Amino acid sequence: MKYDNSHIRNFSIIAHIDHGKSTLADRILELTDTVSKREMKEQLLDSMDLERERGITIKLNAVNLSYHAKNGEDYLFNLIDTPGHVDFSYEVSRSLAACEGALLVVDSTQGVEAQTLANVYLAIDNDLEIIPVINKIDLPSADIERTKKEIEETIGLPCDDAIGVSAKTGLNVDKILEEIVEKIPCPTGDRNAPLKALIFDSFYDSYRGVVAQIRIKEGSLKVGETIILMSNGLEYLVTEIGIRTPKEVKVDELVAGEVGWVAAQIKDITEVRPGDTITKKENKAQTPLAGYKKMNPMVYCGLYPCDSKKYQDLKEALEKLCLNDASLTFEPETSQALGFGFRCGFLGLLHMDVVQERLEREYNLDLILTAPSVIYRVYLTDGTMIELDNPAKMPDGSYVKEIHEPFVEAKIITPNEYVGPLMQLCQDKRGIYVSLDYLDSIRMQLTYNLPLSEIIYNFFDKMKSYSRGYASFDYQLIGYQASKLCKMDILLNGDPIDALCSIVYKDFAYNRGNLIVRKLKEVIPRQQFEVPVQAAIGGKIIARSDIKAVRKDVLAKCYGGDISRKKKLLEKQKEGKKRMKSIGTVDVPQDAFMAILSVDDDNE
Amino acid sequence: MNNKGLYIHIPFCEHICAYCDFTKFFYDTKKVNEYLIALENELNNSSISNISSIYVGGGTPTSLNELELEKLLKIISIYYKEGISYTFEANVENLTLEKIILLKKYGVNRISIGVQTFSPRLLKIISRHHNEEKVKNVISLLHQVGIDDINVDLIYALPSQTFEELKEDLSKFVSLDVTHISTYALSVNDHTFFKNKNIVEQDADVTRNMYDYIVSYLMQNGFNRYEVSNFSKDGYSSKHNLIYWRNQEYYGIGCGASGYINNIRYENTKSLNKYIKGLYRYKEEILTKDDISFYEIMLGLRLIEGISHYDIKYHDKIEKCINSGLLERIDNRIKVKDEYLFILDYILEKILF
Repeated sequence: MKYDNSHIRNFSIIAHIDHGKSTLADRILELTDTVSKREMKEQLLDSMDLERERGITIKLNAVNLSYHAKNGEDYLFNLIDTPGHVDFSYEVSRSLAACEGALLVVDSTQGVEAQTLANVYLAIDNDLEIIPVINKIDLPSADIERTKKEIEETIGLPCDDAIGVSAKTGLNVDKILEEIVEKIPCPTGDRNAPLKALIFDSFYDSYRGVVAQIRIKEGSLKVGETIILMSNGLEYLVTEIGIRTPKEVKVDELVAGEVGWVAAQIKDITEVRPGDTITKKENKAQTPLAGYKKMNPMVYCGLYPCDSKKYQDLKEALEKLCLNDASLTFEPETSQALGFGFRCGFLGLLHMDVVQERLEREYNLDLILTAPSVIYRVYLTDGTMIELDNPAKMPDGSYVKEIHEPFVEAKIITPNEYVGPLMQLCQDKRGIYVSLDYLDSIRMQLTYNLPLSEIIYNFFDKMKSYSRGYASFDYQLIGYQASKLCKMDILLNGDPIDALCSIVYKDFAYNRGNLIVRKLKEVIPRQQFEVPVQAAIGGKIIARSDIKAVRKDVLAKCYGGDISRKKKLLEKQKEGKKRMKSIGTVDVPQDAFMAILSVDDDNE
Repeated sequence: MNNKGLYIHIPFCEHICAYCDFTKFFYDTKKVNEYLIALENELNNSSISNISSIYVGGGTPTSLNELELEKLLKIISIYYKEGISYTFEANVENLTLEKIILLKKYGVNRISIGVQTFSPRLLKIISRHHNEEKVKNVISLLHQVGIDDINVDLIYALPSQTFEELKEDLSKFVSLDVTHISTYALSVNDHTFFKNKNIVEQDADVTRNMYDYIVSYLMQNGFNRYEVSNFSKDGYSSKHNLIYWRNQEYYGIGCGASGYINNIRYENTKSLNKYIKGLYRYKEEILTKDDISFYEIMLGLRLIEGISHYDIKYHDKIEKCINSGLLERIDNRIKVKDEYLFILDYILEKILF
């Protein structure tokens, strides 16, 4: 059935990881009879395996629901899911741009978290109506009043009418549905105006070509009409349009205010960019919608196929991922050690992890990743500046005048008892103290300026362990500052290995070098000969350890009954070593390239 | 051509050793008799021909009493021919003069004795029940009866074993009047007492040092290393075991036995009851040409003589290993360099994958 705009509500849910967003979405799907209990898989919106396994939402998903309200009228809800992790704030801004309102879900046993704040500010920037929802009130440790006070004080959102719910048991979830009807503005937009539809997501289907998820802001769209992508002017004939319930359902028409998908036999995945505006050839719109604030990658690493014959496969897989992950960038690069691969840019480490896992699982690739690096600005003696995303490309020290690195402002929210250790952590990570504020009687917000490279390096895990898991943080880039940095080379068998070098803070170099060579000794298996591993700065060796020669690797006895088993054993052993790269005469496993990241300064 | 081996498994023991992962059961007269009937049946149904060696292993074949042993020998005698190699595995505790005479009567010309170590401390750890005196006694009985081709097994890198204990063992082993010594670095396998007790293998460096010492000591005392772990006096290498390493065919008869005949590698059931019921076969692997060339290299490189030919697809990798000094070519044969035999798996991975 068709709804007029006054009976449509487009909203998303903002929440910190584990505060219950996906569970709440599931309850809403149930209450609106969108999905029968029988069909319910845990956390239905998280359809990627990876999402369900990690309990996080990565790609946004949109679902159309019909709701029979207490006022007797039927409403169409478009629920657009958002990711909660800081790495994915770009995805959040995309889903928010397609909505008029948002549910802010806060766990009443935890309170407001740093990432929630960041996402709420995004929603406020987008002029969304925000409905606070206090979740997990069925738990004994729930503190509803304190949570309300915290929302009022940190976000400035009145919480007198905030709904206390339990997404787990379904308690009061019906009240949220009524609030959505009452408080979230209905979409505006003229159905008869020229078409303006915002692409907020897209994926590739081998039968239909690119399928774009769209929010119609103005006008209408029918099958058989010719559309134009406003950023590049390309024209396509619409073959299918539809909605998700969450199963795909084809419809004849989408009109202003509605959310749905469109397929138009678009074969080139790079042509459909989220944030672009679709219009029609007949009755064309003059100006596109505002689109998105493009997020720039903050972290770069080299991605190489273990098997060099898979280079082309990797290229195609990256192209496909980029289709609905505009924040992922890649360009070809060559490494002496690893051969042909790509330098890829990510929003953060989780983003990098997720991309790696998706490439390996969905595209069946075995990959070698080099340690992530930030972008350094290197000022040369001739007055020019280069942006360096790969430490191996650092010019010789004699040409370098100064190196600048990106700094972030990090906000950590924590119970006050952990402030001491967390301040120590920030100091150890070269942090510059900015402020310390009370959010309420027990929770504090700690602000520090920190080099981004230090956040990549072990920061998150340490913060969690120093605060027994209670602290959360969010950061944003504030600019570049000069630092005492230098390039550290790692030598195997006397040869520098480009894929293993890194940029380090001079005062940390000696310690870091020692840790890395020891770690490499641990992860690189024994070889035919003893292999020295060295760390060097400007040609001077600062640390060394030796990978011993392999001395025993044989099955002591091999008689008639051992033979088949022996073959299987060899095959299995080989499988375990698939991700090895031969560099010169040394076999280096995948882990070695991440060793730079995983060494722990505490283990001296 | 007479070049096939016949392996017969007798899965009965009076005691179970802590490291053993072969198919074995406690000795039981009733079961033994049922077993021998099933064994005879399997032998008769296996179209056995062109045998160049017979090897009766276990378990402990000599755990059978004289009556049962003679029954077994009679069953096998149909396949025996003058001049072939005929080995019985034996335990010091139950190899009596009477049994030796029986074995000799039916043509057995080689005995393999599980000595393992002479250290009373270590014998206790591996749950063995003999001593030095008994070993010497049995060997002298064998010579008296006229079985002079004798192998003794030596285990090293036992849990807590010291280098001194190994040296003492070696000096005693070479003083025995034997033709062959098989050595094993202890490996802790699944389904063993050691595994269940979470015993861990000795450190790789310790094991390697022990191995190097064993090799040089045995070679100085008249034994040649002809395979990774096997040493013999001139002319006494194990003809039967060479069949395995040269990737030649062999019948495997008995509960838990394995065979390789007509391009099929097979395993018999490890269940005694199933075996007795005549459900012999457990699984079969039909070999492709690639499998065969894989096995040729995997097995042949265990030998000091190396391999004379190999599938051309391994050529580049073999050349690479020759260049890096792991392999060498001598008289058109490819072999692992002596000093790298103990890292054979490391080399095989480089060649085979």
